Amino acid sequence: MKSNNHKNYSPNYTNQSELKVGQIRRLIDMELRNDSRLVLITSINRADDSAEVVLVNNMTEIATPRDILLATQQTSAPFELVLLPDFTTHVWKQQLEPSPIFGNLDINKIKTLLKTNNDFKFEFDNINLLNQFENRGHYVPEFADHVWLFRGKEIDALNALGHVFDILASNQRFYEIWRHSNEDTKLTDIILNNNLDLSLIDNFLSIDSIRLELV
Amino acid sequence: MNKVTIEALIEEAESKNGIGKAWLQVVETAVRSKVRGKPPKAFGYQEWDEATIQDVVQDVIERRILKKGGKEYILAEATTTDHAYAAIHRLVNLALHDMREPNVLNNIFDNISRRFTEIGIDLEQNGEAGVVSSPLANEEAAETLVRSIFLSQPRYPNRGVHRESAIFAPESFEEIVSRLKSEVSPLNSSVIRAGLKRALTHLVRAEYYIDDAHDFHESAIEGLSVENEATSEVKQLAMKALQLLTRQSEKVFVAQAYGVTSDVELARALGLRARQTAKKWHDAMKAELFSAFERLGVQTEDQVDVVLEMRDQLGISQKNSELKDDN
Repeated sequence: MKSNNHKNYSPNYTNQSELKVGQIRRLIDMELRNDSRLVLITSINRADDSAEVVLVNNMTEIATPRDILLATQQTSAPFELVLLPDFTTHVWKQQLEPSPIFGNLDINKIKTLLKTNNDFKFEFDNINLLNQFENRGHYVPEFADHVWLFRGKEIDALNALGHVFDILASNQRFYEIWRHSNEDTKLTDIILNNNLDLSLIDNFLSIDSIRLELV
Repeated sequence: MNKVTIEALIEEAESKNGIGKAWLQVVETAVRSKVRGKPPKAFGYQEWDEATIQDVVQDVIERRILKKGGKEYILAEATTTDHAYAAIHRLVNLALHDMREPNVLNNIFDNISRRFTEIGIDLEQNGEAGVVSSPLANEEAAETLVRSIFLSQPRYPNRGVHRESAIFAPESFEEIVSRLKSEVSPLNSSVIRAGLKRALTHLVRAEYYIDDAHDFHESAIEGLSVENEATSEVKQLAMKALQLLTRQSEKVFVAQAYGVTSDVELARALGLRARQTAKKWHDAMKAELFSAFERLGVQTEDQVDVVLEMRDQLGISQKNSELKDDN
């Protein structure tokens, strides 16, 4: 049985409600159905009060070449951390705001680290790359070994805390409501009359459908 | 004894001492459950008694709770009592591994050392011996190279229930010795031990990360209901059945649990070249599983429950998988 707990142990942490990119915070499930995780905020969308986050944990000993080791000097956190750039999700800012700030990472540093992960194929048997990047984990998981299973569970845990927009359902709801209040107007008329291209319309629909989903 | 809550752990952490009865109680419970079945001599004790348990508790707190930000991390991440318990159990596992001697690294070193002795090289006496094709400037570089050589070899998956399980196949050992001999200088026990530690400490500890929540649950059981007793029996059967599967069959079992249905997909998932090989592995797994059920006396109507429990034991959640009839 889970006991709901919102009290923070934070004698030395910064308590600041404003979210900023680079902060390391605790991501909680607002309904407390899933265990929380520590995450790094990589982008913030002020329009819908959401954020993109990347999972961090302290399991340096089973970090893989795709994971980045963050020393305490880099983050100011009281513990060493591992950044797992492949483990990302989209969350509401309300899920992060109650948390103290456990550490910070420079925004340019984050960009560089994430770019490196995209640019290089850190294949698990590529020893040259392992030696080239000393700030990366060295564990090489194999199919069905304990770390392989553990990482699978961590993906599940993070996804359970994240929010994935159902764009199709949202669009359908948007259309229903929009058509109801503007029965004489057709979407094609708006496009033609305003000389809008499809990408703008797509963007317009996405933002509004997200707004509707929030409602 | 009342269950310690996360609020109590936080309160103690914020107190002047930083740690007290609540933390000690949770750590002690974890230590008692985890040393059960472990040989005391491997931890430097003659037997497990009250005094030695308390020694281990103190050692665990010193190594992992107070150092490396262990306590702070637990309280940063956890928002529930169960979550905090699971995290503490994980740290206890890791600390116990730190304390254990000999460990898998020692075994691998002994194997390597024996192979060198057979070809006339004594690593303990060795300084610059060995045929050196590309001499390295210092031990630091040599250790890095040793690490690369160990990491270049395929490993057996570590199931975790067998702590002393083999890591490398004999042919891998031969390749490692051959490369160490021709590429590393200075070639001595110190360099090899250090390189081995750099390469595989992560691997050896890995098995301790996955079982924390399960162990915590197990130690928390005090008085089972009839329903729980049945569950516990299924769990025991599942664990025994898993031990009876070969590593090859365990891989097939995991793949199937994750929804791999055809032999073509199975071959792809396991990195096999031929579908026929995958089919052979698949058939072998089924045969081993039914043989295990027969040996353990698992009734037909209970087999699905045992298979589901086996998947739980391997950390595969229901929502990620579908039970296949042919299991």
